Amino acid sequence: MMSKTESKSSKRASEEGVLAISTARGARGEALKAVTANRLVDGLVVYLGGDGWVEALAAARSVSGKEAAAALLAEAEPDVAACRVVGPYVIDVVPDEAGTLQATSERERIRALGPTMRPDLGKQAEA
Amino acid sequence: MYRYDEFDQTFVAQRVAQFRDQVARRLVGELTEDEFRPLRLMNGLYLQLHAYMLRVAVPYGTLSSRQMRKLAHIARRYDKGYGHFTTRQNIQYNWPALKDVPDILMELAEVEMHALQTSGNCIRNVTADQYSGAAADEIEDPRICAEVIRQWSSLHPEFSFLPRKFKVAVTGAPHDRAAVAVHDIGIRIVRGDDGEVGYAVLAGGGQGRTPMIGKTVRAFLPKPYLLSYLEAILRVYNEFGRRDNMFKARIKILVHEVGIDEFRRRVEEEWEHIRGTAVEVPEEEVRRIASYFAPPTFARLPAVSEGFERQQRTDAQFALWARASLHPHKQPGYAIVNISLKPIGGVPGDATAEQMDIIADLAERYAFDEVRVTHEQNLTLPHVRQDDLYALWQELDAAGLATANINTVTDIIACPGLDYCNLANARAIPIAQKISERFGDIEQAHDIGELKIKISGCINACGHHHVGHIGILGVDKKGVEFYQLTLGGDATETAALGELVGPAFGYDDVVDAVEKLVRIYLGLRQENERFLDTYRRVGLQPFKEKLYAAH
Ligand code: SF4
Repeated sequence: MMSKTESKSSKRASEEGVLAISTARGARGEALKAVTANRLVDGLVVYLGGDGWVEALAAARSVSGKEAAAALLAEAEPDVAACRVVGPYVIDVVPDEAGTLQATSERERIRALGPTMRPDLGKQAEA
Repeated sequence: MYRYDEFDQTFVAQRVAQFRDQVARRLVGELTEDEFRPLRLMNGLYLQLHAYMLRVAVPYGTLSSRQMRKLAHIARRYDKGYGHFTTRQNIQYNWPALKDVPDILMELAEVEMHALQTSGNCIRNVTADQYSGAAADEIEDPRICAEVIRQWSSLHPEFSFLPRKFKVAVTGAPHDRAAVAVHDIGIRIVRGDDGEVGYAVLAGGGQGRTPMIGKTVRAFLPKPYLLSYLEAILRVYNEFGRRDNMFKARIKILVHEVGIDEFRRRVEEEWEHIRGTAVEVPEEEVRRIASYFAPPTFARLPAVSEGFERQQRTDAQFALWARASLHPHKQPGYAIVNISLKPIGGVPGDATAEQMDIIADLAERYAFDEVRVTHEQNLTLPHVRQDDLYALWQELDAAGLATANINTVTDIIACPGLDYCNLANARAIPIAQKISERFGDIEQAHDIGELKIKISGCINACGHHHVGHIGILGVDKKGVEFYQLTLGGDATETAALGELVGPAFGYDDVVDAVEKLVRIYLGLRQENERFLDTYRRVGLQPFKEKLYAAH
């Protein structure tokens, strides 16, 4: 399930100027990883940041490599047990030209921003 | 007006109290997500891409103004000011917080609404024609039959753990607006040769991964035997249905695998066995239920309102709206009014809290306090005096609710897709919006004629793409959104599944492809042919050739 949805990198991403995706990938050989989940109390999308969970992908902690990703995911587990978040998983991210983290899959881009046809809703509305 | 009875009321109140307790225990960690998930799903609460989503049942798509106002209030107070009407005649809220859901359910219970039976492997809320009790072509109000089934199935111990979810739809008119042929069981109220009213019973229809058109198990079932016959079908299904494989567990697979003749033989055999002993509905109970759906007190009016005729002649905009939005009513001097939730470029099925309040108000003043939700994601005022149509139209128009596009190319069904849904492969709503804008000229849309475009963001087919005249299915190709097009689907009494036209189109090309298909049709059509008629006459090939021909 995750591999299916996490492998998306869409046309739209390139349209909107995140051309950095392919170069960054080429340069590093692989995308960076971050950990996301939904907050239990209200369901909102959150990311594991430097110090606990954050709402903006830009503030997420990113790591390189499978092992580091697994370690990051393991850090989320206590918060699952403590009923802070639900269903954490690893996503692919990449810094754009300004160094801000962007999700590479369409699904995660939409989670990070909000419904694409409603810029007034979701995180994009707060930005 | 439909209301649930005292028994339901107690049951719903208990369930709300239970769920409040379960949410509290979840929030402090006494329940894990694995323990809690089935409980929240039983109460219509899903976790989607951005937030929780609450699906509220609208039995038979019937709402009173009071209920509609409550839906508006919930949208405003607990959500982001809007709701989304779905193809299951439900309403979904996309942003409720878990901690608020018990309060929302309590508020819903105050107006006899709930979110039960909107998920799980039970008999889901039974659906019926949105024009029930109003349509000129109706033989009998299908909601009576549907409600009998609902009451019987709600708590039937034998059928609350079926191999899979089970959907039943009923139509009371020869023109099928309830898509009964794509339900697990479809019931058509029919007249027998001697004029007796009874049921044609279909089984094994469905959409999703393996779409099937339901087959007739019995062409005529006398009314008193409704429940024993359904029980026979469910018993055969319970006994032989595939519980080993989720994708094969629907009744359609059983009917397909054993063949309709063998399936019918088993059902009839079972029926012989239980008929007489099984519960049938007592006459008295049917009468009680029928009284819930008693028609309003109509005025005696001439069949045609002169004022209405004149207003159409003098106001072309009004005439265009009337042509698209009205349907013949069985009561002289009245009309059925459809309210399009498909403004050009808008999100199909979305209504703001303000619009809901306005519609509630209009229903109260013009339509005996009744609103219906259609499976095509529009709303209907079932009983409006023709004399009032002009005033009603002006008020709808002022609220952005008078787009004259019902049944046209811009009256598109779209599921939430990747903009909201956790299971999606691709976006559906923005495709609908772009098609709508492309065909935004209403007069042109009327010239194109009846054309049903239906879009799903994944194979689960919530957007009914299999039965769209043009069906659009979002697929994921190596992480990129693509769209498969099917042609010739039909959800009515001439039900058919669409045929795949050829290779899929990318997000930026699919709207051009749809426009091309429409142009091909316009080039091929003969007088008075709808898209579907032309397609049936010429077949897939000419569309396919021209669609993929090099420029
Ligand atoms: S069809 Fe798929 S994407 Fe659309 S609402 Fe249903 S499950 Fe979600």
